Formats: sequence, C-alpha cells, structure tokens
Amino acid sequence: MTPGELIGIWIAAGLTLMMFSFIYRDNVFFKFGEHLYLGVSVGYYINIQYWQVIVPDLYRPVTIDHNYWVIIPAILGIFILLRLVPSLAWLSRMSFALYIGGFAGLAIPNVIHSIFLRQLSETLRPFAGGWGEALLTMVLFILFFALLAYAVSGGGWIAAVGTLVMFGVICLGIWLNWMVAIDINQVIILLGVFTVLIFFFFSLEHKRLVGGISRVGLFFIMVSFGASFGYTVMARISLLIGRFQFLIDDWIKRAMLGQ
Amino acid sequence: MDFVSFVLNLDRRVIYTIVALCVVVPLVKPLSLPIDTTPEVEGIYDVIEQLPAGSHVLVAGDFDPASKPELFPMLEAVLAHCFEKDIHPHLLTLWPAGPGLMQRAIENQAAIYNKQSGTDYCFLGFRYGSAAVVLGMTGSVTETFTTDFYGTPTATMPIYEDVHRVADFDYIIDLAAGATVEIWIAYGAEPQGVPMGASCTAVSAAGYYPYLQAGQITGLAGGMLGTAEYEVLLSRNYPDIQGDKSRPRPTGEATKGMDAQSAVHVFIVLSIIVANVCFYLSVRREREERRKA
Amino acid sequence: MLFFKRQWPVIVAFVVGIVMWARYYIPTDESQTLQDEFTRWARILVGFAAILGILSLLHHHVSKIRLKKPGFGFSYITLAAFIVMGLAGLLPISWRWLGFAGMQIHGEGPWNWMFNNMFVPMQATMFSVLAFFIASAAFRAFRARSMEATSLLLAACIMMIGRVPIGKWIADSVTFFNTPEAASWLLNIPNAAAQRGILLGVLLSQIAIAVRIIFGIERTYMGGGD
Repeated sequence: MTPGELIGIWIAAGLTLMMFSFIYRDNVFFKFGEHLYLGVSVGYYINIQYWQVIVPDLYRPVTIDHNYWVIIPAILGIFILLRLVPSLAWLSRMSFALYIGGFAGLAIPNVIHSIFLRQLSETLRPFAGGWGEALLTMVLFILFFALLAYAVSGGGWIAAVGTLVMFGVICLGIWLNWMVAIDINQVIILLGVFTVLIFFFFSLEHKRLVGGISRVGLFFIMVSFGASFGYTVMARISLLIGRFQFLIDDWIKRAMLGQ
Repeated sequence: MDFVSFVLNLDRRVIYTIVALCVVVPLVKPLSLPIDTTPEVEGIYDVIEQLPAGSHVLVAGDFDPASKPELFPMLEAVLAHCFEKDIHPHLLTLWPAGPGLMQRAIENQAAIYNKQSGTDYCFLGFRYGSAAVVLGMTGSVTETFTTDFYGTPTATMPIYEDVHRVADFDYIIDLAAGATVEIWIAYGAEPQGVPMGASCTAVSAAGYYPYLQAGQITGLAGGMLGTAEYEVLLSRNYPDIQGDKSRPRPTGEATKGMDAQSAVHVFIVLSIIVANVCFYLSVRREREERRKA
Repeated sequence: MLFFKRQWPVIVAFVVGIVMWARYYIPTDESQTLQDEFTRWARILVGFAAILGILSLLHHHVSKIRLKKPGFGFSYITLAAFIVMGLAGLLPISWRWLGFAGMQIHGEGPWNWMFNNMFVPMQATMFSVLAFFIASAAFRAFRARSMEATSLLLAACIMMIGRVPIGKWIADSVTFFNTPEAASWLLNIPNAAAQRGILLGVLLSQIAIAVRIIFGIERTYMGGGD
C-alpha cells in the first residue's frame, strides 16, 4: 500500500466516524465534516463544470471547430446567472422559456408513445383476443369486482346477492367457454390499474360504488407502498453495510493490521 | 416497569446499537447464506451473455457516492462481464457526481483485462441535461460527446467506426440512483428499438416493475440483492473472474454484504412484530383500566 | 420593456414548444438536425444553471463570514475546501513532489485523491446514517391501527424477509412459509398494478403540465417579480 493510499484511508475513516457521530447528537465534529463536505463537493462540481461542459461544449467548438453558434446558448446561460442581480433577473426568463418550453414539446410525444400507450396496451393485453369474448370477460369481471367493492363498503344485501350472482355467472362462463382464456394475474393487474386510477379521480365523490372501487384501489396502493417501504429499508441498510465494509476491510484490516 | 412498557419506551440508542451489531458481526463472521438468482436479474445477465464478441453495450452509470454500495459493484460486474466476452462497453453518466466513480471502475477493470480506451471501451464522461444528452445521442454520439472524459476527440476513435447513434448499440444498461431509467426508456431505448436493462437502488426498484412487466426492460436488478445475484451468476459461469486488482476475490462486495442485510432485516421485522404486540397489549390494558374506573 | 419581461418569454416557450412537438412527426434529416442543435443548446444552458447553484452557495458563506453570523468559523472551512479542491482540478501543475502521478482531473492526482478519500466517504456516510433512523422509526411508529396499515405492514415484512437470503433459508426449512415466492408475486402483480396506475396518472398530469407550459397558462418556471 502506498503512503498516499494509507493516509487516504485514515482520513476517510476519520471523516466517516465524524459523520457517524451525528447519531449520538449534533456536535462540532459533525459540523466540521458537514462544512468540509460542502466545500469539497462545490470544488468537485466546479471542475466537472469546466472539464465536462465549458471545454468540450464551448471552448473546443469555438477555438478548434470554429462553430460560433454556441456563443448564443452561452449568452443565454449568462442570462441565467444574472438571476443573482435583482435588476437584471428578468433576462433569465428567456433562457428558462427556451429550455422549459422546448422540453415540454419534446416530452409530450415521446412520453405518450414510449410510455403511456405502451403501458396501457400492456394492461389490456389479455383482452386482445376475440373481441366479443374479450368484451364479455371484461364486463363480467368489472361488474363482479364493482359489486364486491360496493358490498364491502356497506351496500346491503342487494349488493351481496348481486356479487354472488356475478360470481356464479363467471364460473358458468368459464365452464361453458364463453370467455377468453385468462391469466388470473393479468386480471389482477387490470383490476389494480383500474381501481388505483379511480382512487386518484377526485372529480367524483368517493361514496357507494365509486367509494367501494377506490377502497380496492387503496388496498393495492398499500401493498405497493409496503413493498416500497421494505425496499427502502433494504436500500438504507445497504448504505450502512457499505460504510462498515470500508471500516472493517479497508481501515482495520488493510490500514491498521496490514492484511 | 413491565415488559410492555419497557419495549414501548426503549431508548433509540439501544436500537442503533443492535442494528450496528447486526451489520458488524456477519461482516466479520460471514454466515454464507446461499443467494438464489431471480428471473429479473437473469433478464439482464442472459442478454449480455448471449451478445457476440465485438458487440457494443451502452453503460450509463447514473449514480453518486451515496448509492455506491448498491451500484458500484454492479458496475464493476457488468464491465467485467463485457470484457470477459470481448464486448465493447461505452460508459457515460448523467449525474455530475458519477464521473469519479465511473473512472475508478473502468480503470480497474481495464487494467485487469488489459483493455485500451478508444479501441476496446470508451469512457465518455458526463454532460448536463439528462434527456438532452439522450436525445442528442439518438442523433450522434460523437457530436454529443465530442471528447471522452480524458479530453480525447471521439470522432476519430476506432470504437466509433461502427457506432454512431443510440440505435447502433446492442444493449443499454442503466445503473440508476434516480429517475434516469424513465428518461432512457422514453427518449432512448423505446423510440430507437434498443433492448435495455436497469439496475437501480432498492428505493426506486418497486416503481420499475411496470416497465419490467411490459417488457420495456429485459431485466431489473434492484439494490444490493440484485447486484449480489449478478455477481453470483458471473462467478458461476466465470469462476476465475477477478474484482479489484488490489483485492482479488471470486465474488464481490455485494455478495458479502447480504448476510448483514439478512440479519438487520430479521431484527427489524421482529422488532416491528414485538412493538405491535406490545402496543395492542397496552391499548387493551388502558381500555380495562378505563372500564374499571 | 414590459413586453420583454412578460410576453416575450411566453411567446418563446410557445414557439419552441410547438416546433419541438411537431418535429416528432416530421422524420427528416433537417428535423433531426434541429433537435440535435436544440439539445446542444439545452446542455449548455443547464450547465450554466448548475453554476448558479454554486455561486448562491458561495455567496451565502461569504456573507456569513462578512456579517459574522453564528457558526461563521465553519464557513472558512467550506471556502478553504472549495479553493483547494477547485484548484487541484484546474491548475495544470505536476504534483509528483507530493507523490501523485496524475494531474488535474485525470489519473491519480490530488483531485481524484480528495474525491475518493473525502467526497465519497462523507456523502456515503451522510446517507447511511438514515439506516439507524429508519430502524428506529419502524420500531417506534409503525403500528397496525387499521386494515390499510396492516396490509402495508404485512407487505413490508414479506418483502424484507423474502428479498434477502435468509428468506430462502426459511423457505427451505419451513416449506409453507415461502416468502421469496410471495415477495416476487407481490412485486410483479399487485405492486406492478398499483405503480402502473400511479404512473399513468403521473404521465397524464405531466402531459397536461407540458401543454399548459407551451400555451402559456403555466408560468411559474419564470420566477416571481414583475
């Protein structure tokens, strides 16, 4: 191990322990580390700015390629910096208008084509067979789950009877081959997407049938948030494991014990 | 003070200490729990494995040091996989803090496999703009990145004789700490018809399942577990694969960390269950006391 | 002058937005060139916007020192670190006398050394501290008070056990408790359904906001003032 590496590991370990001291309480070591981090990161970003933006996108095109058109966005960029001068801050609006307006225009067709329509078509995929059977399957299932939701949210005995009747019709339909061959998981996905969209639709009051459907959507959202929470815990623990791996493998084993 | 009150009033520093112990002990004394691979991660691995020698893979390392434990080992694993198969990785990052980490990974792996910049791989570096960068690359990679990270002009590099725009790549893999996966799908992979895979932090993994389900990404490696699974797949098929040159190891950092991950997760789940049981017992006790009063 | 402050930016946003939107449906070389040029301009603009953030931060610390606000001593550390890190990457001088082989941002120079031994550990540690807080919060605040909270809690527990190696070990030992399969199903079916519903809703609102920006209804991006 070179002296530079050794000193680096000790400094990294010291700074790591300084930042960890915040767990106990805010203290002067943490504040020192925090402000040092701020300064180092700003110095880092200035270099990235220079070497990855100014040199390749401004300096090279003008001095080597003689492409002087890049001076226009450079001037617009300086207008953005003039936001710090209150009397000239209005100049930055032109730059933001160009950037935000342009990307709004770029985003619309790309997002619609690449994501929105793709996701929608994937949701409806199991029902893209014979349109008659597909329609019947979709209508029967939506009616069944709507009645179930209504019954669950206090719709009374009529809703409960209706739910049972729909369930019977669906079973009969499967037995008599009225409906497309369906994958139950795809049905659950369609149900989930539909009910979640209803949950976020606030133009209708969430009462009775709509309330029942949105409760089913809420259940899907809770399951999804639970999965996200589990994954979030995993992510944070991974970061902690990474730091302890450094402290154990690099600091203690390599730097201190020379292993 | 009885057990229920003790649990409900437990000092947070006791929890911090137990979490720290659950991390440290398995790292010092590994449990070597077996890691099973899932179809999500195999979806990325199999695509790269089936690419012929000379293919071009775009590796977007859109993460910063905050996500290093989850994504840096995946970056090294993907680069090692590419170099094992003589595939040409083209690296870039859409995050300003990414270049330092990408530089370390590519220089490590290039040194191990004796690969040359400009011929076997190219580290393009960073440009601001995210969607602007991806859209620019759909027109021309060398016009968007006129030089690589080291300042060498890209237009004359041998690696760019066959690759001019995003559509010419054989695969895109995005190692994302943020929302760049959507940007690559919306502006790059989907319109240009290039297959794509995603490796992301666990925080954002759950949100990418619609894309996986729709086939817009071939695979999804979420968090440190996804990285560990990729490392396991690599070590199964390439048993001699090396990691960092100074610390050779058959499997990577992510695999070693999974034992600690298991321990902490078990502790958290048990603590949630115990806390909820104690909570319900205390609520029942309060109700009884109110009834007696 | 008021025209340039108020109406002109709206006209620019409208014209550029419509042109970029229409360009998608005109697959010619000229249209691709227009997009390439616009994205080149956009990259340069965003680069300058990043400098704005850096200047604001430096201005804050310099004024903190000048006005001797509480904790101004730490601002000296920030400025000193900024100067050292900034110059290490910009100055074209050799640091071999300090044992560094590289120069500026290339190779093993002081800039890379500071990045690897200061920036990386500090940023990584700052985020890793959250692990302790999330464990403490889960223990102290996560209560199954309703059906919805219970379903969230159950899904989280299945995920936390099923997505780590110990879940597989438990599944092999106690076969009816197959948490990895359960976690996989949870992620691929109900989670994907809910996330897709949320995604479709978010995309619709993104498209609506983009249309509002182009047609000048949404002007908050321009900032306040006159």
